[in-house]
Amino acid sequence: MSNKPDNQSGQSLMELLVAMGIFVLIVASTMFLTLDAHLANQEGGQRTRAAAFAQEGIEASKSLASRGWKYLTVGMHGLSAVTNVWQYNGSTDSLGIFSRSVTVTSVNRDVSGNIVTSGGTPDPDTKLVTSRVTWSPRPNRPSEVVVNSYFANWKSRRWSQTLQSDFDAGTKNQVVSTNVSGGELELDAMGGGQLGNQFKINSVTGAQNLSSATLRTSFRFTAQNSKSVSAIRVYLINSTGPTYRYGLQKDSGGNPDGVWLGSATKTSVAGWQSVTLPSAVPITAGTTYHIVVQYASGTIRNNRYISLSVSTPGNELVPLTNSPDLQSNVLNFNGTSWSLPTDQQPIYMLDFNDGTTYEGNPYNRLTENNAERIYSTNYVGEQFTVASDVSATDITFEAKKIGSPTGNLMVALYNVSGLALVEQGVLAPAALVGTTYTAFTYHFSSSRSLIAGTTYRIYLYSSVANSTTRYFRIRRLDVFNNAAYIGQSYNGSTSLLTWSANSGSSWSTASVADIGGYYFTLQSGYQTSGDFISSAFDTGSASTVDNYLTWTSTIPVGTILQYQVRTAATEAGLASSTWVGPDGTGATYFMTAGEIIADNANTRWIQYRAYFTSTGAATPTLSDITVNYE
Amino acid sequence: MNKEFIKRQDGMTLIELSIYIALVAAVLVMATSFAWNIINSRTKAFAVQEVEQNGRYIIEKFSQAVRQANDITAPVVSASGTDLTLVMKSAPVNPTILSLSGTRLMFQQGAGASVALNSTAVDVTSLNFSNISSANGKSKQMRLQFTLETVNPGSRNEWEYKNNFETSVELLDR
Repeated sequence: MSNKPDNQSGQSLMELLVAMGIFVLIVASTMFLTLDAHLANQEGGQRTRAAAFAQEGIEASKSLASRGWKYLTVGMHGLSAVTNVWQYNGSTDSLGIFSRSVTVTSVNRDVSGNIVTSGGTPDPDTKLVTSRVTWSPRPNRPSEVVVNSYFANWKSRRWSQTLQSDFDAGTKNQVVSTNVSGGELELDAMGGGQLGNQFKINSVTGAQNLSSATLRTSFRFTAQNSKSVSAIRVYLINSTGPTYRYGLQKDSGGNPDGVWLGSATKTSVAGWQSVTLPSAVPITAGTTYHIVVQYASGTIRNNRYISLSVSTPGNELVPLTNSPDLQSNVLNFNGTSWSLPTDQQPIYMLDFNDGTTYEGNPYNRLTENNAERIYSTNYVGEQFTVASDVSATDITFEAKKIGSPTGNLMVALYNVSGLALVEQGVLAPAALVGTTYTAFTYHFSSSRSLIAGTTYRIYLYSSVANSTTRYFRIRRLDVFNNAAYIGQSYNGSTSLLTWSANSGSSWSTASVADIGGYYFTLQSGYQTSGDFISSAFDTGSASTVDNYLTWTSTIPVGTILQYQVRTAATEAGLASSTWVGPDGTGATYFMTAGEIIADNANTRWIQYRAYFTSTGAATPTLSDITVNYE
Repeated sequence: MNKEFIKRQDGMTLIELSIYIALVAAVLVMATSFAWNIINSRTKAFAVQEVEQNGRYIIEKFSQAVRQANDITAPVVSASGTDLTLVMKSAPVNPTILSLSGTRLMFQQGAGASVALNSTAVDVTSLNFSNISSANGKSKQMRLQFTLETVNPGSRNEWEYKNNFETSVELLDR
């Protein structure tokens, strides 16, 4: 009985505590729920404003793209409208608690044109714009809204050049247009060609004997200079004749036309005969003329006549430059008609009235001296320089043998300026060398560069001693020892006969002589540089914005192709504006397709320039080029 | 034993009563403040929602109107103001005018009635329409900035709420 009230009271306290505990739990969880609901509500509002703020980033990018596609510059940007138009400025901007960044990313596409996240090639006309707004609703609880949008450059226009006719409308400098695959530009190819003195003399002889008053001899030639001839020189053999008339005539169907442009008479003397014309006769480069010689006065008979010295074979080239002169020949008049003798080379010189320049063929002798015998320690060759850098693959010499030498006929290329042997090797085994001049070719182990301004020596020697009765020989061509004649021999005085009697320890040279019948075979290649200036293009509006320059090209190893552009308000103004690269100055070049063209005040007219560079072995090729503008 | 029990029973009952009263008082205080908090936060939530929903609505109406516009009559390029006049492609809604009347942002399409975009519970302040189009007409863009705050004559904390809004829209059809 008495225990009951005790138990009852104790229980009610416990119940109260439990009830309170439960109550506190309920209150606390309800409080949390209410607070969370409140915060979620607030964050929802923030998210709404953040979305509007992020969308503004996309809209601002639309504005930039509308003004000019190029203003969508790749990178992370903030926005600013302080100049009353949207600009990318810095890397973020903010509004209250919100921080915004607009990121422009270039977009790659695969071969099917689909956008890919890896691989593919960049599409300059598509950009991915990501506007990201971040904020922290509560400390250490970052939140963000991201809006992505792909932008397409649908509004801009293009100026493309791709056809050969497009490129032909521009100015090409050491660059050529081709039409192999729809029109391209390339560096001009340089013919492989040959370098050396290919002039040959097998023998020196006389043209027909002018032993009758009706006979005439003509030396036909193509004028190399447009100058006035004051004197004619020919070389006489059989010089016991009377007085002859020497003069210039024009060509008529390959023969002299019979009308003297200028002539004079002279009594005959041996050797070089110089006939001064009464007044200088102007001649035009590239035109064919004849030096005609015929009887004038005095007793002429069987043992009183002259004969003009000529050589065989007819070389049909100009000795000085080795350039072709297909008109070069000797003609004979027999009293009724002109005829060509076979394979003769006229020997003559023309003095111009400036007193210092000449043209013609001064080689009047094939010399076979003891000094040029190739045996034992006796070496013979040519010392020379080249006018521009070339690359040689082979060397060819005409050689013959006297007696029966053994061993090999050797050839060597020596850099005289650098005191270095470039390469040596076997030109021909003695057994293959004949008793008449025959060409032998040595192939260099690798292409040998001959650098302009450097002196070289190409020479022959015997691999075994042999002797004065068993040796090799090359052609030595001689001119009269006078600067006028030396100046018209192969390469003038920069190419000289050279020989050594002590295995190359010391060398002698002779400016009056050259080796005849030798040449380097040059590697075929391309010009090492060139450029192309396009035709001018009218975009049709003074407020044109030039977006970017893109192109399709092939760039082999060792070549460079780069570009610059210039713009102006008028077509005439282009000439005085500066060629600029992507930074807007002349110091840079466009080297990556799709590079942005810098802003410029005057943009109505535009023009581009392509710079081609090569080591000479290959050429860069420009297939098409496009200026994107709006 | 019994005597001790009776004594203890009496003492315990008094202490229990005291404790009971104290606990009940504490619980009542907690419950009351809790209920008050709930009421306040509900009021605040209402204020927040009112501001955010009005802001969202204004931004949507603005964006929709500007996107469909051909041109902007006022403000002129590089200028800003509290009135926006849009040239619309569709005749019935041309012109579309957004203007500030007191603290109401009014929206009028063509010859239609001018209606307020914000409710009477919130005020529009610091309204600014900026014409940030490019001078050469290649880009036409409007920027809208405004502040919304709850109408709160008694300056009561639970009713106090305001926020800044901003967006820009490029004209699509021109």
